[in-house]
Amino acid sequence: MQTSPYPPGDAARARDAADSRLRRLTIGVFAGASALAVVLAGVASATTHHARRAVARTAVTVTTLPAVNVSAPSATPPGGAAATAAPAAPDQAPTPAYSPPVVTSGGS
Amino acid sequence: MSAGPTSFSFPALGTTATVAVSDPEALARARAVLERELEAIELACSRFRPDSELVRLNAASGAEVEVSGLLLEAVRVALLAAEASGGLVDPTVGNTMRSSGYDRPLTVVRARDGRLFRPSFEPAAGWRTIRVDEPRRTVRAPRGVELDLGATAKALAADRAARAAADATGAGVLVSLGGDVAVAGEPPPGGWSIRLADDHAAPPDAPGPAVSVLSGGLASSGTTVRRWATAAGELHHVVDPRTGRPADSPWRTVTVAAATCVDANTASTAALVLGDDAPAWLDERRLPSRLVRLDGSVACVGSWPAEAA
Repeated sequence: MQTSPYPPGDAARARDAADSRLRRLTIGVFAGASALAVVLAGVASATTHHARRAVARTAVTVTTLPAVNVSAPSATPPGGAAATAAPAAPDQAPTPAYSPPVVTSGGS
Repeated sequence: MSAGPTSFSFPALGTTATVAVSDPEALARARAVLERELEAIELACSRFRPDSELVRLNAASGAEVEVSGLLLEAVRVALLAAEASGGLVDPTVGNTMRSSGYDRPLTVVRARDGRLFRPSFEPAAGWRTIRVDEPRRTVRAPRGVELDLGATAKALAADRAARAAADATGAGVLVSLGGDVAVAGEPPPGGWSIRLADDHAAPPDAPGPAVSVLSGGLASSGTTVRRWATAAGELHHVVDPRTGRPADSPWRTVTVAAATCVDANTASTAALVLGDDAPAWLDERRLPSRLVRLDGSVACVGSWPAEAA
């Protein structure tokens, strides 16, 4: 038959002391985990703020784009009419002339 | 009512300017309008006048330059012509024009001993390198790129002057600048009769083909007139932007009718550069045209009136 190594009074005190150590250890672990969570939340928060600043800088860059668009060659022909991508045909083709010419067209 | 068109001719822009009106009483006023337009276009677009805006722009070394409304329009028209011709008519040929010996008015170039001049050629930088800011009225050419608006500025001046003179006088007006013709207003009965030749300086009453136009523009480009001697042989001014060399064309003169003189000139110049494919190119765009081969034989395109053999 197995018997306790402590006298009856000492066994109760040893049990209470072990309970107390276990409680302190639990509280310590909980406090440490809470502190670590706060630290990690802070790091995450700082990282998010940094990203937001980067986005803001990108937005500023985008606002400069219209200046590039303005500098592209205009497609507006003389007189302000719609631009044409090819030489436009005449309303009427030339016809044989029956009156004396007033001018000569040729190389110059 | 008048008996017929009356005209007046004088030297301008290194060529001949002619104004004709359907009403003789409108001639003096129409001539004054043309002279004002020519002075303005030369001051804006000349490569040879030291006080021109274009000379200042070409010397800007890549900087953005504020320009007048007229030069802005001339550059815009040149870029449109380049786009419309697929780059066959390109304003960035200024460098090769200069290095090939055409760096002064042609009378000065011809007065030099061309045999002592060794020309060089370079492909055009390309019209897409030019930046135009319409609201700020600025133009920027890359450093080292020179503009030559000769292919379109003359035709633009003809369009502008004909329109302005017709508005000012109420008469029908024809303006010819070195054979680039624009008409505006009510034409004379039967239309404006125009003789066709290799050289615009040929007299209008000499024998040869002639056509009548009622509106728009008619322009001729050729390789036989504006030529100069160099150590590498005789050169002409119609440059192929792809090589920077004078176009090696099977045509000696191309005449095109179009909605405006600018459009006609763009097409006739592009056709010379394009070569054998020019008739099909012109026909696709429904541009009535007359092309003269080097041997003098003629090809008519589209609705251009046939000629007696």
